[in-house]
Amino acid sequence: MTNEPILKLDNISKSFDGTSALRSINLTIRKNEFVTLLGPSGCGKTTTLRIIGGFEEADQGDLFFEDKNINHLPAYKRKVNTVFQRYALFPHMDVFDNIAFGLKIKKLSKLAIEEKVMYMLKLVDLETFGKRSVKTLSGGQQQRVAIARALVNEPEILLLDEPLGALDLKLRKGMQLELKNIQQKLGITFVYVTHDQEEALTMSDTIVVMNKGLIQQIGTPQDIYNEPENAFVANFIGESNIVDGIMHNDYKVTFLGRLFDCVDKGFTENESVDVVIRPEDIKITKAEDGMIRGRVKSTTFKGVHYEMMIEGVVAGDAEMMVHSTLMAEKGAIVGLGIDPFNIHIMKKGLVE
Amino acid sequence: MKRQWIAYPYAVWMVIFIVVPLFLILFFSVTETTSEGISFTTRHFQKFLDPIYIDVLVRSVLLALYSTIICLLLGYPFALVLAGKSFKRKNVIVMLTVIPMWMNFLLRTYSWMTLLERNGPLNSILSALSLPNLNILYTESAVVLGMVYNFLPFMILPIYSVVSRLDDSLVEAAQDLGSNELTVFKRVILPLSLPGVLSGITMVFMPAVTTFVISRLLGGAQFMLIGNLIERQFLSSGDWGFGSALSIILMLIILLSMGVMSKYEREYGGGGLL
Repeated sequence: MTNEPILKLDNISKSFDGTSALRSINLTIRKNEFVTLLGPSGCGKTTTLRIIGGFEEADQGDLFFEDKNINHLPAYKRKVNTVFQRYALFPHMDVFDNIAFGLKIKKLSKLAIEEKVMYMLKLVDLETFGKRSVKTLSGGQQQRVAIARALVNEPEILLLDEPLGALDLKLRKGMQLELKNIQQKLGITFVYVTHDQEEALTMSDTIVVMNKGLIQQIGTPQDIYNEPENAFVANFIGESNIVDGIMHNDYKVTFLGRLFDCVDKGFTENESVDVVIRPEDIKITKAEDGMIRGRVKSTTFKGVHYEMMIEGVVAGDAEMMVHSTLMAEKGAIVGLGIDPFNIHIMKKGLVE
Repeated sequence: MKRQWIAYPYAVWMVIFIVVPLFLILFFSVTETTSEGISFTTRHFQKFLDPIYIDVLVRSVLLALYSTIICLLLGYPFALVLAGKSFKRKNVIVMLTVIPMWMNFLLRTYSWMTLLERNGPLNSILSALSLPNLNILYTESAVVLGMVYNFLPFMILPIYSVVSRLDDSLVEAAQDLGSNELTVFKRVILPLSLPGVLSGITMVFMPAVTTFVISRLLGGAQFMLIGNLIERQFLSSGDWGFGSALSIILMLIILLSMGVMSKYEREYGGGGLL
């Protein structure tokens, strides 16, 4: 992504009734980028979106749109449109009039409105639905109308607030791909809010992981998944084993009672660190071949893989979660192997 | 429906106190009792065609209409402000709107008589401020004032209930799509509040057009509305046939206006109190 920046959040803070919702948010969004704000509920992602949309004003900090400060620009003057969480379709209008709403306010000619709305209906695959009342539509169809209603105004940025949250799993997967297609086809910047990490990984160019009003990490889906910057990110994105460790020197770390080689450096000598290992990065071996040994406490079949909890025999009471296509019987003593590049070392104390 | 029997007492109640009286009124309005017994007649309805009586009906409808319009003009903005987010102590105001309705209707109307008297409190205050006195007691204005005072809550509450249930995100969506505050009101809030407005109009117009207490107390004896006319047929003239015919006509007018209302209400998707 080397496109020019379109939106900049500079040191944005916001609190509600004395409870701080956002703390010094710095974020640059580029043209045509698909940015996802990801985090648990209450992390400030929706507040960030509402500040960009113009429905809330930041207490501190500045918001720049193409280098123009838009702190006080009301929502209706921003070149930004929103797809609301529960769609917020106008119940007193049919599908066509819902989509045409923004165009009518801009006083476009009837012909132009008709043409644009029909194009949008086609884009979201609802060509024959123009005269239907929005109340008779299914959740997925309402969702498409909401997207069409926002996109028809040709916004510079489209904001989406958990737009797929109310849909069932299958529909959600379909819509994820469709949204991504629409975004690439129209070349519009998307800012997408979700708490669903899988959704974020599937669709985004850039993921912004947030927690408690702070940005935890900004990066590509691969970066976020493979190189989480702290234990919160590691834990939130996918499943992780997080154990205490000591970093002796560059590339040398001790955890679970053993010295491991790793690929991280730049820590002070004997610094306490969090060691994060993904369950699928641990290999099950024969007991005598393993780097550490443990007893299988439980084995659960998960479809693609088995999920096994390994009690540390050597290393006291630590438990490790392992995902493997090979099954080990409950109670068996097994060895665990971890490659150096799968050991992620994180500084402690970045999470509040 | 297994438990239909639970509804039986109410059904019996309704038959005795609503259905039977309705049939009695219908019966009285089309029959007359002479020395030869009971016979069918349209005499009572023909009597109504006298311009004197038509005038009474027209005046009743007009005064009720004025009151309804004034209630709407006062009640709509009030309900809107009340339902607004920025309004603190909302419950107190809603209570204050409702409390007068707990007081006896006659009592409230009598108190206006006292207030409006030639030497009453209102005029004393006006005199003290050396403003011209207000002598509207026993005029149409006083009747309209009484109707507005008594029926205003019936306009405010249904509108308030509809507007306060409006999803905030609809307003935000309209802003998001480029509407300033005026456009948000015109395109979203107003059309979506119409069911409440229609309920309010119905709930003010119906009692206003049938009232006979307000017109007698605040309009004085010389002042007659259709309610007074009906009352007089039953209580003083003893012409039950004519009284019943008038009631039937009034009922038809009400049913007709309710029919028109509910047609509009359906078009706008309902949601009011009725």
